[in-house]
Amino acid sequence: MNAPLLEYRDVSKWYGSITALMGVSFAVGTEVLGLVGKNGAGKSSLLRLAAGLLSPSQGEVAVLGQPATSRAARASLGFCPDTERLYEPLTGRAFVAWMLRYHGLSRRVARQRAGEVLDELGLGADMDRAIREYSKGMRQRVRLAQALAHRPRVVLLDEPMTGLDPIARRDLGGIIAELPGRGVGVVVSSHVLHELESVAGRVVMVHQGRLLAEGRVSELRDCLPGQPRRFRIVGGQRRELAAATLALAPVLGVELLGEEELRVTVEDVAEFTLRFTELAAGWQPGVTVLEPLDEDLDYVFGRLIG
Amino acid sequence: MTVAEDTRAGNSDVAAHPPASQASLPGLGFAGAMATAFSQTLLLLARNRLLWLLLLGELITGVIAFGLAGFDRNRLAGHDLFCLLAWWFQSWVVLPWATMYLVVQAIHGDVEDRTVQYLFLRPVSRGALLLGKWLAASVLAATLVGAGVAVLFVGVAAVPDIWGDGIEFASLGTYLWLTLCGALAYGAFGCWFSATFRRPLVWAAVFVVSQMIAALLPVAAGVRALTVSDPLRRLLIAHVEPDSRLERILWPGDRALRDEVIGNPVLALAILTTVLLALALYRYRRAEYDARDRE
Repeated sequence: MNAPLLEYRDVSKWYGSITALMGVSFAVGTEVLGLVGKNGAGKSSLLRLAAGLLSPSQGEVAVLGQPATSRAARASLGFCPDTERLYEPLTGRAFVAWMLRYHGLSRRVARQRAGEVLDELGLGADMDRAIREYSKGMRQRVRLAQALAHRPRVVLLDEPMTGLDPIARRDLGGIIAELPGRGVGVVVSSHVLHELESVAGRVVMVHQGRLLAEGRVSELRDCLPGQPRRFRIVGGQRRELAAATLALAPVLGVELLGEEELRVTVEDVAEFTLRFTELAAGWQPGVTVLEPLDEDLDYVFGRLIG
Repeated sequence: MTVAEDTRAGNSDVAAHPPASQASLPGLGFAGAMATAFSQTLLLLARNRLLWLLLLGELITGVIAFGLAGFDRNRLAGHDLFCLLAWWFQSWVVLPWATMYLVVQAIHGDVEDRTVQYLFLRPVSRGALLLGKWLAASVLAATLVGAGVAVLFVGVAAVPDIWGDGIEFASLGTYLWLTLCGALAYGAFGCWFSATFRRPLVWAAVFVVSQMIAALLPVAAGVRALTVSDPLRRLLIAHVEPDSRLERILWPGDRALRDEVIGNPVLALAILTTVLLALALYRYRRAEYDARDRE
């Protein structure tokens, strides 16, 4: 069996009498894994355990089969923390090059590699300016560059979207999504669920230090038993469409929203989809949109923690 | 779908990974990491504006020394005046404060603003990072204070007629040696405080005041062995051959020193420095940076 790139095995972490994590186990392969949880859930502790900055009170964390605190593990891992501060007087290129020097690169090669990575991350024009003059987005790119420049196999990103404008978020999402194609396993943490939906193939949900659920968003949603689901429907003659939809067996209720828009609450998704498809096929004014409203992580997470 | 009870499955369609040693850059050895930390710390500290203020202050003391030498030429010989100024101003005040401030900036400053995690992520020994930082800050402090001592010497030597037997360059050499030894030892204290306590500068202040009080105790008091100033004073008196008047001024309590009391001050400082660095290394290697305050 192929080995995972990062693996948590029954990991617990205590800070004195405070339990930060309790018996957490999951594995990360060549993928983007979203780590979801409210503030204080234990996300940062999980990432810091993998980065070797913390040691587990119980259990094991392994990077490429090596203990996370070992030098071999650190050589294979890149971590982008969510702290704002960098070495402020340095330039972005100098900072990344300084970090690369510890990986054994010569001054010249480190500087060259730092320039390449920053250029790839879109900081090419500003890499020789002092960090103290950088915006949040530029700092985030420098943090990301120091995590990627030594070409690690595992990359950990702690709240990477925080403070970024929408364009920077989109760009960063694109960069993250490309990493598994290079054989890299990525863990991205966020307490803003919708940020992760576009980049993470799988999510791990943590709550109060425990692993709540793990899987694809759609899989997690489907595992919620007996939860009514909502759909948005756009079609002509909405009042008549609403009446016809309400007549379908699994429909619990219909709300009229916009001019041609309905919101439908259903009990059995499969049954509703089958019956509504038949209805829509014969509906002369036409049905242009049928989309689930509860696919998002916010909904799933909200249901899971009650 | 996987829920909490079924978390061990992981992602089975993962490509087999090569051994870590093949996959990644191996990282620097101990000496290489220490040298890198040394040079990077020097470059960062050199950008501290306080250093330039300190250097300006040192130049001003040289001018003051020149003024005192010219004004007070009938009371103190050049050698005594230089020793007094260099000891009471540089070795007693500037050296401990400047060294411990710089070391705390280099080590605890990184911890305080969390930039240290970027270093701890690298495949190098934390001990090498700590020793590189300690050495850089201590050498920088020794250079600054040494420059101040040299400026004082020039200020006093500029009035040659107060040096009875000619200008004694050996005294300058002794003070520069004392400054280097003192900087390494004070740096070790700063290193230990930084690695151990949340407010290392407060502990540094407590230490400096405590050793001033300890200096008033009898020569045989064991607590003197835990200070830096006591071995430094012994080293100074053993080398500059002060007259009894200078000896009384440099040695509070007016106690005459004999060779057996002086002992081997450099060895005492070396032992103290080694013990402190070992304690600091132990703490630094085990340090964790928990995330509770942010979550």
